[in-house]
Amino acid sequence: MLAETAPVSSADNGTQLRAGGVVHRYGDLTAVDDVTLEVRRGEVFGLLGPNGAGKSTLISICSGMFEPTAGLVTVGDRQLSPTTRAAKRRIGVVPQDIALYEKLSGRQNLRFFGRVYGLGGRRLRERVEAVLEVVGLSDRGNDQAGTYSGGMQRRLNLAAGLLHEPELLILDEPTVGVDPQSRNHIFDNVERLNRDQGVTIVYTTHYMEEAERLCDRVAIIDHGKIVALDSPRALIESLGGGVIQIGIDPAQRAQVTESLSSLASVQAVGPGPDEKSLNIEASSARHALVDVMQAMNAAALEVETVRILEPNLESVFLRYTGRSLRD
Amino acid sequence: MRVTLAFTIKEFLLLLRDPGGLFVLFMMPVMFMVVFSLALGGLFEEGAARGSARALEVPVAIGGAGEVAEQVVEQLDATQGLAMVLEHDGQPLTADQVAQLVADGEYPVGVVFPAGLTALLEDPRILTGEQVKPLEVDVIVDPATTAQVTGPLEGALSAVLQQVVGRRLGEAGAAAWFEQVAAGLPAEIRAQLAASMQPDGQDEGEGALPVTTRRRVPPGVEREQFPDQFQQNAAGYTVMGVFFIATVMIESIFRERRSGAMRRLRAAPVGRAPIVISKLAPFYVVNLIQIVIMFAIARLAFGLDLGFIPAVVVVSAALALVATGLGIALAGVARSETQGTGLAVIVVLTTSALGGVMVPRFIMPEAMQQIGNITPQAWAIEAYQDVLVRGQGLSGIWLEAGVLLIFAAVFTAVGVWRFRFD
Repeated sequence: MLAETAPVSSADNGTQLRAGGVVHRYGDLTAVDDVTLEVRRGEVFGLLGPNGAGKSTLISICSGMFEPTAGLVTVGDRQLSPTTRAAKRRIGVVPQDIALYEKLSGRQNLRFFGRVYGLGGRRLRERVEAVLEVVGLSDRGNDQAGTYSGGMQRRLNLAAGLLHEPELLILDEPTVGVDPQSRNHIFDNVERLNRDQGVTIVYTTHYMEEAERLCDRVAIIDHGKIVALDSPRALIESLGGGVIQIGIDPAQRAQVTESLSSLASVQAVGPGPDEKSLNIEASSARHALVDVMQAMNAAALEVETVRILEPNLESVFLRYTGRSLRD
Repeated sequence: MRVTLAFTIKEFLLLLRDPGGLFVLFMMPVMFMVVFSLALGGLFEEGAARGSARALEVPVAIGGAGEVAEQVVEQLDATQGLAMVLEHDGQPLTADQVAQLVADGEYPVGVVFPAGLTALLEDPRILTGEQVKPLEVDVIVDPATTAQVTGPLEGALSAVLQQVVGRRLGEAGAAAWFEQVAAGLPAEIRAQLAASMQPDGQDEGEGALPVTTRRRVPPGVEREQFPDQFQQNAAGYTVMGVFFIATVMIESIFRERRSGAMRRLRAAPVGRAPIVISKLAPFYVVNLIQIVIMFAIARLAFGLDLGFIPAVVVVSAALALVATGLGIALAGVARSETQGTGLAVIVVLTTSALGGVMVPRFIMPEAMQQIGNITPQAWAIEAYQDVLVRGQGLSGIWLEAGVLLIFAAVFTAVGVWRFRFD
């Protein structure tokens, strides 16, 4: 039974979505580990994480699909849970899977999902035509969804999430397997919805260029925890001139740190994503690399692996998780 | 070749990941073998023990029919596959009791001998060939019983009557003639003649007998017309066909889960109950159409008398609810589509067999009959037969319809409770 809930707070503090102390466990596995984050009204918020990081579970909880083991999620001033109707109406969800009926036409699909969200009559017809126009499928609306290309299905998938004009749109990997034309179409849609209609967007992706282009802020999640959260620019700038990530013998960690910290081209030496690696921050990673290697040779210290992290979001991700985003 | 092998290994691995589906796959033939063997064992076994559950038990009222009726019953009782029941609660059965037992469905068929049967055969008018009003042995038949069940009893009864009555008439007639013709002969010659006149059994039973058999329905059963085999089976196969909607529903639900549409619905502001109920509705309509088609064919092609149509509608409406409820319940219980459809086939065929779709329940052992009572098919068939065969109206089917609605409510509740979005 779905229920209406009273507002949790009468004050509009500019937060569209808030997850507070959210924990979710599958048996012994903690998929989401005490996550607290706020998505501001009108921003595009990116959620980045490798497979198995807990990203999908967190997105599902923030979509009202299931209840977290602990913690609270609110949408605007309404608490969100699988049984709260008012909060769910504010959200548009575009799942990672093509969540459509292939045997139905594009219009039939949209009419069905529109009705699910309470639309009907003239309003439903108008919204169906409007979202078909938005995603550029008006001329194919009467064709069976199963006959669409992968990119067109993705666009129809997006359209189904826009029907009821949600305040908050959650896009879960909306461009996976999409051709460049459809990808650009989706980018344009996201930017226009955010810019022209003020829709708050939570966007998960594997593609750094998408996050850099679209997101006002990004959160990086790994092992169920938020390990970094800021604007893409701030996160990139935190890398300075780049990072050299070297693999070492853990027994030599102290000696290596001491040897490299004294180099003029090195700004800081810190722990890497695991005990066998170190992050070396420099004003110019490429120039510092020569000094680092010479210092290691001089001290007879072994370097097992070397990786230069250019100052971009991919490197930020690698720095915090030790993994490529596509791993 | 390598690619084919990779696919083959992958399919094996997927099967092994679905132990429930494998269980169903393996159990299905086992279940059929066990259930059908138990249900139909009596039909295939030689020398069915008299009085065992496999023999057709026939309640008999002898009343004042006398010695001839007792002889007939004795011979029928000695016939393989028949067991005559003469007492109820330790008392000889009366004609009314026999009729009531059949009307109540306790027995499919009963026999009532007419009072004065033995006395009639001793009537001098018969012995001298005069016309007398013949007596009738009533065979009380439940109209819902198949001809395969009543046929052997009626055949045996006619044959034994012919034999016993014929012999009795032959002996008595010859004795009367002999008394008239040989009255003045010497004792020695009379003895020789009497010995030569012993019946050899060749002529017994020939000619018209003053005793016939008559089929009757029990009191309270309005239909005097006896259905043919197709008419009797129409209800059974309609019921079984309706329940196969479960497999279609399971496929549909799992296909929807696969499509991801269920996941989107999970995020939508709708609860499980509306989704489940909306899932039932179209299949419910399909079921009703299916029933209409079945009965239309039975009516138009085979002349089935549908009886009181509103009663048929009530039973059909309740039956369709049970079938769709079962589909949604099984979809909730099953862990995979393979498991679900396999499970549905097992459940539908097994409960159909137990419920009397394929063979009448009264020929099953008592234990199987009792188990059959917990299947919706048994109640649905009973309700349909009440209307189609026994000529009952709404008052005759309210109990069965009520039980069907309870089945539907339970199944649907399980379906809602166990419904999963992915």
